[in-house]
Amino acid sequence: MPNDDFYTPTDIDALRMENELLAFEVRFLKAQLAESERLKEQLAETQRSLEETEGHLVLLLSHTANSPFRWFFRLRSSFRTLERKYLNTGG
Amino acid sequence: MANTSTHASTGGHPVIYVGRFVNEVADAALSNACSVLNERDVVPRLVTVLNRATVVIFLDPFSFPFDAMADEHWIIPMVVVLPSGSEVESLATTFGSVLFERLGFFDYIVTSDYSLWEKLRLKYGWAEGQHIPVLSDDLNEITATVCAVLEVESTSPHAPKTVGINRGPCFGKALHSVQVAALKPRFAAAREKGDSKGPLDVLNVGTGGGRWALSFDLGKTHFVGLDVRQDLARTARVNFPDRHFDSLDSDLLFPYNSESFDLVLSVAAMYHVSAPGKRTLLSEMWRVARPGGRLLFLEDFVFTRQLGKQGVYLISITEFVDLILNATAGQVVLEYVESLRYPGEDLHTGGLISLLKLGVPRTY
Repeated sequence: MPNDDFYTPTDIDALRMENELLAFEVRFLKAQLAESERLKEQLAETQRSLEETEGHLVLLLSHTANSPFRWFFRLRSSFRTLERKYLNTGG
Repeated sequence: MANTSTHASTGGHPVIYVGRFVNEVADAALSNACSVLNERDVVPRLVTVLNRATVVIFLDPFSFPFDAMADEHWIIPMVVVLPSGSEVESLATTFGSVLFERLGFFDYIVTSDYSLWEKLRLKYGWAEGQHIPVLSDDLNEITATVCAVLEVESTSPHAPKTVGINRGPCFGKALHSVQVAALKPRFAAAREKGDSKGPLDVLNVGTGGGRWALSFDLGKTHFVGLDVRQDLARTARVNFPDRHFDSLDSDLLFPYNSESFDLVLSVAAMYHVSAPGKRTLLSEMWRVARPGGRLLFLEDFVFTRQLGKQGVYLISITEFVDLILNATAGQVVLEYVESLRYPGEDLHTGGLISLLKLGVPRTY
C-alpha cells in the first residue's frame, strides 16, 4: 500500500486483462457447476422413472402370479426369477 | 487458480556449497555476490541461505544433506559437480531418489567425464543442454566455468532455457514448476485416451529448447516439437536426440498431414505472433489435431511490465477465445480453464485453456 493508504492502480490495462481472465475462469466454473447440477437432476429423473417402471412391473407380475394361468407361467424359470426378485416369493 | 511460493524469484544470490573442499577453492573463484557454505556450517545456515538463493552450486554433493531441504527449495536451479571416474551405479545408489530423480530441465550436471554424463542422461532422461563440460576436476576452474554459463543463461534474451521473457534461470525453473503442476492433469487426460490406440501423438508448437519433451514418456508417446526459430529447433534436437523437432517457415503452415496428433500444445508461444499469425497458427493447430483430440494453450493473457518491454503481441483471454472460435469455425468444445499466478507476480497472468476438437475422422 502506498503511504497515503489509498490504493492506486499503476497499470489499468493489466488489471482489466486480469479481471477478464478471472471472470472467464469464473464463467467456466459456473457453467461446469450448472452442467453437474443438470446431470444430477437428470439422474434423479431417471431414478424416478425407473422406480415407476418397477412399480408397474410388480403390479403386472402380481396380477399374473394370481391369475388362473399362474401354473403355466411358473413353468418358465425366468418368470420364477422375476417373482423371487420383485414379489419376494420363496418359490 | 494456481499459485506458488515466491521466495526464489525475488532478489537473491547464488549459493556455492564447497563442503569439504573449503581450503581448495580460492577466494578469487568465489564472487562477492555469492553465499558460500561449507561442511561445518551447512546445517545451521541451510534454510536461511536457501531462502534467498537464486541458484545452488554443489561442488561437493557427497557431503550435502539433501534430505534436509524443504520442498520449496527444489524450485531453485541446481548445479551438481560430479568427479570424473565415478561409477554410475554408485552415484545412482547415493543420489538416485534424493537428488537425480528431482533434477529437471533447469538444472545442470558438471563433469569432465562425458561417458558418465551420457549414461546418467539416458538413465534419468535429462537434456543434453543440462551438461556443463569441464576439462579437469580443478574446483577453481569448475567454479569459473559454471559462473560463466549461469551469467549467459541469466542475461541473454535468447538463451535456450528462456521461458517467455528471460528473467533468469531461477524464475524460469519456478515458472516451469507452476506450469508443470497445471499441465500434468491435462497430459494425463490426453494419455488416458491415447492408451487405447497405441502411442500418443503430441505436437508442441513453440517448443523452444524442447523442455516439454521431458513430460512425455518416450515409449508411450510420439513427441514432435515445432518452432519458428531454427536455432531453437537445433538446440532442441541436440537436447533430445531421440525426439523429433522441426522448424516452422515464415508462412506458419505446419509440415504435417491433417488429423495427425492427439494433443497439440502451445506454452507461452502465442504472444510472439501478431493477430493474423495467431489466426494461422490456431487454424493449423486445429487442422493437425484428430477429432476428439485436444488443443492445449498455456499463455499469458495479461499485459505486465516484463511483457510490455519486449513489444509482444499480447491479447486478452476473451479476444483469444474469439480468435479460436473464428479460426476453427466453432468446431471445438471448451473442456477446461484455469488462471495461473507465477512466482513473484501480483497478478494472475497465465491462462490454461483445454479444447476438444469436434468432428468425425476422415480416415479410420
